[in-house]
Amino acid sequence: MAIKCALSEDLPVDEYLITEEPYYVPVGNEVEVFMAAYRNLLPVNLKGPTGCGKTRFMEYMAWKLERPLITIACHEDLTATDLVGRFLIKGEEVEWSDGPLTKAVRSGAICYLDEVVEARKDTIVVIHPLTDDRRIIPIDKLGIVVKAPDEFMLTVSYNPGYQSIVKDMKQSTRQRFVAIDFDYPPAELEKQIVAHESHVDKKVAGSLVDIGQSIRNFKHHGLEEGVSTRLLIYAGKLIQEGIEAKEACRIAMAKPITDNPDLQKSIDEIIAAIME
Amino acid sequence: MSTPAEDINRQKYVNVEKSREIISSYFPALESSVVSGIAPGFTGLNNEELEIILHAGKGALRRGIRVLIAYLGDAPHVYKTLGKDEFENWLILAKRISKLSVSCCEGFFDSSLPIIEKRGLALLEEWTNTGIALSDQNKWIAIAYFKHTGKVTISAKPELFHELVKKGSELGELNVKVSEAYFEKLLSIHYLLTPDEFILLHSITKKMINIHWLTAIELINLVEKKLPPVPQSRIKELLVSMEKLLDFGELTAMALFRNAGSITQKTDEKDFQNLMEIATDLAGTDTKSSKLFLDMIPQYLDELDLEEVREWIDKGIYSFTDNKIALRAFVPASAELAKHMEKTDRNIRSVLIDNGIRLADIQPECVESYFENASDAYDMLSTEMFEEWVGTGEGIAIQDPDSASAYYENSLRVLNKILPENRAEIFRIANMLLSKESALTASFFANLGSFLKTNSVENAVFWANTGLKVYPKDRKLAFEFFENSPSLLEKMDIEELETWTLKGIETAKELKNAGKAYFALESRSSIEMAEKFTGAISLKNVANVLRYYALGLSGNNFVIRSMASLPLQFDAQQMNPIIAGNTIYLAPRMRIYENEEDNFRIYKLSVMHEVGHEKFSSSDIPLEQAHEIIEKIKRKYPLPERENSLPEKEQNTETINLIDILSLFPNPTIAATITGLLEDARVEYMIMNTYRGVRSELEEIRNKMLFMRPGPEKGINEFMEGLLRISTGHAPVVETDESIKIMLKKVNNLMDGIFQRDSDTFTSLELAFDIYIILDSYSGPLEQIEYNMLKNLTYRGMDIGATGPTDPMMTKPYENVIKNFIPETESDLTADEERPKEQATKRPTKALDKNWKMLGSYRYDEWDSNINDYRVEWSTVNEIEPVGGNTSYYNRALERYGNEISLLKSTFTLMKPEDFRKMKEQNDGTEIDIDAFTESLIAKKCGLNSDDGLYIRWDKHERDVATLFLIDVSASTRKILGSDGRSILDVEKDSLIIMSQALESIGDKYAIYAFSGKSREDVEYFVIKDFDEDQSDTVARRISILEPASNTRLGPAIRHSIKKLEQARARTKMLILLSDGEPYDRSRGEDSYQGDLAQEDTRIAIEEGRTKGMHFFCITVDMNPGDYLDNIFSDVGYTIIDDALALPEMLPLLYRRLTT
Repeated sequence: MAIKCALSEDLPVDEYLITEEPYYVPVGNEVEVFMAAYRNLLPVNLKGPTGCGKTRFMEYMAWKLERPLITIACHEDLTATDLVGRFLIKGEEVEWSDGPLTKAVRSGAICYLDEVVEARKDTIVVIHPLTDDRRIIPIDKLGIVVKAPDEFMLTVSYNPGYQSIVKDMKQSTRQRFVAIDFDYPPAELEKQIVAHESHVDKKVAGSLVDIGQSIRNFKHHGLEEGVSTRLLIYAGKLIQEGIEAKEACRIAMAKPITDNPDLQKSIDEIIAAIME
Repeated sequence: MSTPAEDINRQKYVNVEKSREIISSYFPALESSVVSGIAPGFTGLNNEELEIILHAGKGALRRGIRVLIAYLGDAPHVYKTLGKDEFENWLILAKRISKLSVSCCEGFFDSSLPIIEKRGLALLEEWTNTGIALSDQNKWIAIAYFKHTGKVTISAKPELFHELVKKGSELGELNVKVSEAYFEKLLSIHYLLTPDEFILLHSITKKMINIHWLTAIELINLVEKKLPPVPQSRIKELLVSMEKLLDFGELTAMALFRNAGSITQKTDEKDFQNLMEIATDLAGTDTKSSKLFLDMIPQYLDELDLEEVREWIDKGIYSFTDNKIALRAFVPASAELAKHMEKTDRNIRSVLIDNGIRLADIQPECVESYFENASDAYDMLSTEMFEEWVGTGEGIAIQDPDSASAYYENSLRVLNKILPENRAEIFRIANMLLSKESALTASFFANLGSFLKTNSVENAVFWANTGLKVYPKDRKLAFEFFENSPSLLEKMDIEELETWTLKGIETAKELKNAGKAYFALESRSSIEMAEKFTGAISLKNVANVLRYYALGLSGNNFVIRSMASLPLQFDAQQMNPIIAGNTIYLAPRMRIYENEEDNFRIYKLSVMHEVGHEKFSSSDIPLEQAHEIIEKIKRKYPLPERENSLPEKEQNTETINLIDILSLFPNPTIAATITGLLEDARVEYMIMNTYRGVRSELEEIRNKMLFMRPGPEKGINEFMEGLLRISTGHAPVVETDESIKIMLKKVNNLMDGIFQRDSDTFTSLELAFDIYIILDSYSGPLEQIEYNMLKNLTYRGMDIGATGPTDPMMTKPYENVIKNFIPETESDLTADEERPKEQATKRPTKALDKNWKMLGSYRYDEWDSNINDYRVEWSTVNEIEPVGGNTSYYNRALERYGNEISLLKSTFTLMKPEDFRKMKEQNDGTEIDIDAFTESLIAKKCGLNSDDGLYIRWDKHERDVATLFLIDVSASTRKILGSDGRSILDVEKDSLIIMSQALESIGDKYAIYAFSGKSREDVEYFVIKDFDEDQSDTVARRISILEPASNTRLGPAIRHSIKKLEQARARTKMLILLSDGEPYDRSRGEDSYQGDLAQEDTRIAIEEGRTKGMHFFCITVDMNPGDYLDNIFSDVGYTIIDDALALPEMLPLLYRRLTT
């Protein structure tokens, strides 16, 4: 009766291996820092605004370190069980199924908890034993403790821009990580990235970045966050696809980031001023 | 017999201490403080003398304490002056006096010492005898005599004094009161008048008594005030005239007396006689007119010729023999002509007077405003128009005197702005309106001024006709139309106004009140309709967009404000944008083009231009470059005497200001203009390079604006205009003279120098130097040339410094010129400081009374069921923080309800949800549901297939409620309940105190506000606790000091609460209203807030909140609530608490029911 449900089929860990080099342009010494942390078994916290390249950086590092990368997008209904694992009913029997965290620990992968503040505070506590020198994960339901191999690494990402009391990281969690700051790349680099990712020419990429820089001026003046590099790339892709440039910018940059009509109109005008 | 020792004792002089002791022992009834006051008088007397005096005092005591005190105060001094024997005589006199009234005695004792000292006992005796004789006539007269005439008898000769007293006594025969007043003032009368004059005054007084004794008293009392200003030689003349005028009654005579000073000073004898004749003639017709004349004339005596006045008054008397009211209006008003003597001559004045008489005959009330303005009117208008002007006013006056006054006051100001040839048209319209109703004409004139700000006289006919279309519907609407439509015309043209008006008439057809609100620009539909026609764009609507625009482009937080907020001498619409630091002032409305988009574009470019300046330009030139150009200028124009104001070697600066460099030019103004124009052009080049998208827009606008510019004046201005055109890439104006053509050609070739990507302000400055040299070589020397500063393109900004009046102290006058072209933007100014604050239109009464803190003022629309529409920004909610007081009430309540609170706390803690809730039989979950699994196995064995719901999920269940408690603190909450003297408000407060304790234990978010309202302008909203505020002593104190006030204007308070709730972060939002009665306030008329209207507004306000997903609940302690609760709260729920005293216990229970 042990017919596996197709949906719940475990992906073999190898599937998480990244075989092709992801495109990533280092802005500073983040690659070296990360390598050093990995060698010294230190958990890492990537701090930075949405869409500035944190996830891409993780992919790049996983590729570079030749480790599988298990990414967990955190959300507010994520429970400890979701991370560690649980029993599933298989016909008339029950069968244990590892959660992604356990799987990463067992296989010595890099586990990446994206937007970790989104997860409930009580959930996050399960990572604590993994982040100090014990490097273990206790699995209560099985009554065992799994020790992490040296290859295993835990990283989290965190967006300080929210600045909400509800969505802040507890000090006890914060202080378990070394932190690397991320921000939108400098203009020149960002142009290069946008051009590469969206295949638009340098000039269009330049304009997109100029618009992006202008919109980022609104941070704290009506916007919680500036427009992300990711959105710039999206705009570029739309342009590449043949959408009229200003329209593409509006779709990808003005409309997604704010509902304030005044602000949208201003952004429209800025787009119109910069785009020819 | 006395012992020797006693004798010695008698010889001894008493000291203060001793005399005090003795006096007290003699007269124990005297208070010690009184004794202390008297005792010092006795020092220097020996015991024996003391006893003589005190013994006599016993007699005085018989007349009472007051007499005794007066006696004791006076007697020792009299004794010392007279010696023992004479003192006995004095005592005899005193004894005689003591038979008279107490006041007489007092007067006697007060006066005796001065009289004795100056004139001896004999005179005192005579004076006393005279007084005693008077007392036979009347007691009161005698009192006045003894009290006031002591000094008179000292100074006057005995015969004269005798005469004076006799006259007083005569007056006393006629009227006692007058006689009293006479004796009271006798001293001053005696000083001011010669005996002859005195007799005159006396006879006048006697006549006055016959008319009215009060006037006589007034006359006597006025003597000491009114006579001194009159020259000594004129008093007699004055009194004689008064006596004559008295034939017509006291009014005129008294008026003359009151104004005697100024009249006699300003007239010689002849004029005075003339004046008296006029007054007499007037008095012959109407004494009141004569009085008014005498009251008014002194202030105009310098300007007016009495002959002429006489002519006017005669005309008046002749015309108004039967119309005294008109005469009374005419006489004082006509003097207004004296204010503008330079504008009229005697003949003209005669005409004005004739017209005035005619008007006074129709409507006396508006004569005054007519005469105030007539001189100006005659001066300004042609004779024919003047007749029209007066005639129109008369037409209005027939129906409505108030409007006529307003007409005469306002119309000239308007007519002044209208070209003379157009005035006839205006009067034609006025007559047309007059045929309907005079008030319409008045309203037309009252608002014509604002109409003409936006429209020509030709359109006025159309405007008036549109108004007449409204008139038949309801005359009041027409007034509203005339009053409010001019403001609309700022945005729309006259045809659009007609469309707007027709819509209004339609509205009025359905609902009369709606029409009124529509034309008063109060209803939402009216305003929306008006906005539809606004092709123009108003800054208000786009300021935010522009601010973001500037912020996005520059990264600096510019502030966009309307120029209307600046105190400018010029029309804000015509000005270039003004820059002050990081604030950009723009025209309040842009309507150069016909559609909104193009108008917005101009705003946008103004902002872009300033952002460009901020980004690409700087008025500080780096030191090295600065020295380079300074050297160049100095070499070319070495001017030793100007010794340049530039500090040769700066200590710590790395830059030199552009103004300092420009000051080195022989003509800094011209140099500044050239530099400014070049810099503007360069900045725009940079803008177009950076923001390629605006290039076409910028060029298009520049084109249009250049096209609209008027042709330049000859000379330097022509060159500058050419430079402006060249710098923007256009050909210079065609018909220039040869030398300018050549210059501009040269300049044109140099222009590319600044259009470089790596250019900066220095580049412009260098080129400006070259151009200056070219201009100098052709038109120079430039030093002495005067030139009117060029007006820059209208979208280009100028510095705020350029708008003010030129400061004479300014050492560098060309600084202003530079500011005209190169504003200094500073990004480091804090934007918040300059942002306009929301101002309270009227300070709320409560906050003012109590000195409570005003937090802000908010305007809300209100639903008016009478017009079936919102009234826009109709009510003002003032947010107030109660300040002061202490927490005692709060603490007492905690004590009183201690048991209830602990009970509630435990029940509420139970309400607090578990973090997780176990949910069984789920399709997915973290654990296996053993029961379900077993069931499923059994089912399977039976051949059934049930694979569903085998897991348990732990779901977190968050309680996420934000509740706003709004409590009614209107005056009715003052009502006392039950026997322990607590009011409804006390109960409400208790409830909230208990409630907040319970809420703290459960952890729900909550806020507490209280409200009351006086009128729509003043709805008070008291902050007790905000959502993000913690329960603290401050909160406790605020609750404690709340007290009942005003009424219940509920709608606005709810709307403000909705605003507060919107900001609260919670999934469930609720407003709980604690009220004691139906919404109403005491406003009248269309402001009123009662009955259906108030209920409907409240219902709509709640509806507004419900559409935003909020919940409402009303708790009332009104035991007979009538229908209103159902009308308002039927959709949301309410409860009535019959026993208000139970509210504190009930509220938490209700809350629990509502939120679980």
